[in-house]
Amino acid sequence: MSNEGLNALVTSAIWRAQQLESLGIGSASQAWSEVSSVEEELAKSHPTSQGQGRIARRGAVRAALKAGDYARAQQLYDSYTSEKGATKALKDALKEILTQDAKEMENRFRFASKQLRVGEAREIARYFHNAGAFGLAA
Amino acid sequence: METIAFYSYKGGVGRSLLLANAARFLATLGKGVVALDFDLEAPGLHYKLGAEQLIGGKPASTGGAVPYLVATAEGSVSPPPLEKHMVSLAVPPGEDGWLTLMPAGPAPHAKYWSALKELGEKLHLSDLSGKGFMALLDLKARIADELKPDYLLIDARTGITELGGLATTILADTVVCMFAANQESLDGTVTVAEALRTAPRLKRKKSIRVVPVLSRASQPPSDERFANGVNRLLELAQGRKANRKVASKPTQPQRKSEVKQALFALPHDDTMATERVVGGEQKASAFSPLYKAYLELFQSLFPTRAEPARRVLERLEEVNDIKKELTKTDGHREYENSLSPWSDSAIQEGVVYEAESSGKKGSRYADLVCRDDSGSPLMVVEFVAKGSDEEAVEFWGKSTKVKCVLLLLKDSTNYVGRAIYTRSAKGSELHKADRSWDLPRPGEFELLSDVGDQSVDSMLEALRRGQVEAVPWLINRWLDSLPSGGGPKGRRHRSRRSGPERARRILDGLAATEDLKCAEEILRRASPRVFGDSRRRRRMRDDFDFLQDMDEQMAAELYAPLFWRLPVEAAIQSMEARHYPGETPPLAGYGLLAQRLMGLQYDPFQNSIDEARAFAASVRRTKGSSEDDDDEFMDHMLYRSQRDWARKVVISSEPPPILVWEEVVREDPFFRGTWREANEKVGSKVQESLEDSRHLRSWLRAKKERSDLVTHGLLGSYDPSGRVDLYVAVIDATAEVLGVSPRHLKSVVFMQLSAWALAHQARDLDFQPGYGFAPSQPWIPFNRESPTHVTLTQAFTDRLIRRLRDPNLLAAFEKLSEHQPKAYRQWSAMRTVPLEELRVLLLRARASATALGLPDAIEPE
Repeated sequence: MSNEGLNALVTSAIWRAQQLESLGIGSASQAWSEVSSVEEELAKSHPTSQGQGRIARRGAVRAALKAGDYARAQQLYDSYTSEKGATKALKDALKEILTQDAKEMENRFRFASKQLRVGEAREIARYFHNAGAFGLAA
Repeated sequence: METIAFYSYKGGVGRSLLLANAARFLATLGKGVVALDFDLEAPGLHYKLGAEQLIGGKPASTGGAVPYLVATAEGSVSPPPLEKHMVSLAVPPGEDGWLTLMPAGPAPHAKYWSALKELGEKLHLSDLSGKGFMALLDLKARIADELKPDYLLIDARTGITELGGLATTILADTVVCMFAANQESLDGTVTVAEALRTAPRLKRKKSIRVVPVLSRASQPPSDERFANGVNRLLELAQGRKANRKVASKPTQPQRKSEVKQALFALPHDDTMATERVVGGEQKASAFSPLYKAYLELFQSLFPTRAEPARRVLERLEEVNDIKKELTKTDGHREYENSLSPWSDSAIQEGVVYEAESSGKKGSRYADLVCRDDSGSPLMVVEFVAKGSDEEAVEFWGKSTKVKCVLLLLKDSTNYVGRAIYTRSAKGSELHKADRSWDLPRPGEFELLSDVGDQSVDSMLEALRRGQVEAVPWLINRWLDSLPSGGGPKGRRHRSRRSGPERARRILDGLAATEDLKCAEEILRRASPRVFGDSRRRRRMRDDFDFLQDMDEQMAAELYAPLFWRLPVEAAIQSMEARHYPGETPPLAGYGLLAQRLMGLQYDPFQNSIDEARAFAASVRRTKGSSEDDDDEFMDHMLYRSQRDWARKVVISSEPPPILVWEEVVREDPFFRGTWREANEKVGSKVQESLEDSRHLRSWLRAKKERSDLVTHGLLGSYDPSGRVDLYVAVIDATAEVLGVSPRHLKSVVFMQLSAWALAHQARDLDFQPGYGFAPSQPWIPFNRESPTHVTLTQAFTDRLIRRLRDPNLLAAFEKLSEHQPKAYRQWSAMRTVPLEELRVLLLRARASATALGLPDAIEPE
């Protein structure tokens, strides 16, 4: 598909995801996943040196987080920040997206945040994600 | 806030019930507790905690852990207020504790399952973003922050689940791991305990404390594999390193000495089968083996609450023992079979008793309040946990009107003693009673004006008031007064000097009873056949010979005197009463007169058996019938014989023969008809005169003036068939004329006629009855009895009355004989005759010899 087609697609996908989210419809996260996928495709066709490429990369990570798929967001972040030619500004921008997400989570779970940082929570979550309930599958 | 998760690898081990009890226990002891139901797939904690009416199945109540987490998962920055998802539960009154439940949701309503499905879609606990984990941790932190409980108790999901894993490994400080007494349950529990030891913890968090609890068994199975598993579990509980992946293969058994921590075991308990929540209760009815085990577990589980738990357990055990004692029906009680124990419904538990007297304030906790039928408190039981017994006595004595207080007092050696304080009905102050171990029964509050005063005088006073329940107590005291002390070894009489005096006082008190119901009960209780049996059952070390001796002593020295001294009606009733078919009545009363005084043998039942046997043998000889027929015949004969015997003493309302004859002769001086014809002729007229007391008294006064108040034919009659009639109307009128007590005159007539009957019917050493002592037939006019026989009968009656040492009987006897024919008065001359000589005279008279040389008695008047 051409870049123009992808741009049109991502615009409509973002609009659809926002609408679904504003209406509180459960499939909003799925719509954001689609946005992330389309943004990822756009990122593939635009290098980081191009402004559209940087926008697509940021959009892919943000949409993944919006979709609640933190694993994908982290994976995209790792991938984009290790790209050849990734500027410091892009890296900072991507990190800021993750930081914002963590802050949002801290705001959302403000009682828990008094006891631990989101990063620690994510470490533990990763442990159980990999090792299963009670860590028995480790 | 300490967080304790209750977990079980397999379900059905009483996990939620334990949690509910622990929650109530802590709340009752003044702690703030939140119970959180994380058993999302099978929620039920709200049932256990009695909140099902508020939550269960109600779509309106949409709060709970699941709805809360759904709202959180939806991304709300301002989560709904916690209160909407919590239910505040009532706790037993006590300290300022509280208990709040966060149920899973309105299960089992469909709305709950929809919410649970939604939660599954929206919140993934293993989400790498940490959102699910943060949501759980946020809930816990919010509870701690907003509610500030002392304890958060989490009901964790059974088996291996994400939520169960996080609730135990991350949220909990302590995990109670419950398992059943089977290998499957144990192996799974060991696996989880190993995992708890190795799972990551939040920073600054101590390692998890694991408390293994065996459920529904008082002790683990003894097989080696199970024992090894338990040992491994206990090692993990003590914080030893986990052997990863070893759970399915238990480690080498540890030596028992290495395992220091005891395994808590919660026994199966039928009384808790309905899953009662009794945690924190200090009422005796809450006590059960399971609750006891709970309290022992709580001492370990909540170390800061260990002392209160120990105190609750101690109090419960003591109060439960007291309640059992108050309600038990058997035991070594003075009032056995007499005073009923307290009924369960009469005992109220755990009452904060407000001062009831005017002008008094304050309250005190009564462990038990025993009430009468109208609900008025009679007795309270208090385990004195705080303060001194003086304070307790002060309150109960001055601020209430209870008649009895039982205080359970613990001394410095932890021995719990008892002290009973009582007061009289007049409302005097409480005073310490002599009794401390035999607890008052409800009947005693009616029986005694002061339940602390169980003296003989007090019991005799109760008896005078018609309190029949005093009878067994008095008879027991009489037994205690015997030189042997009423027991083969022990219970010896404390004071040999006062024993006989007390026994005499009891005997005289019993004999003075006027009330017929009481008199009948006295004879029933004094009868060895009744009392002896119950004593035999009671004694652990039965001594047959001793009991036999005691029964004989009781028969001769208690029953027999009472038989003659109590109202005649009661004596007759005691002989007629049957406790089982074919039972023979007690013969001790007749035995005293026949055996001890007259030197005769009196055993009508043995005689009737002998006669029936002889008769059956003769029938067999003449008819050639089989022995089976004989047996049937003999049974029939015996039955008739006994039935007839039982009817042999009759309180008669018939007119006495002398009255009939005199009346018929008055009407027709030349009447020559039979007794039946005479009776038909004047019977109704005589009956009318009997009912006309003035006429009867005037007629008797005339007889008195003529010294013609004969016993036989006028006051009573003895028939050769063995029947004794007492003409009560005439006896009562005679008593009035003579100025003596009718009751005692009746007894005297009964004795006179009984002496005659025995002289006639009892056997001598040759087993011969006294044919020669046959009385004159009352239906033959003017056929008076032999003066010799009359004198002998009177002499033995006199001996009997003197033996009884009853002044009332003696007075009635002497007064009557003053106005009787000469033969009736010769007893005074016979007093100096030795008993043996009197017996010889009797034997001769029984052999039909009338010329015996009795002074002034041989000459017919």
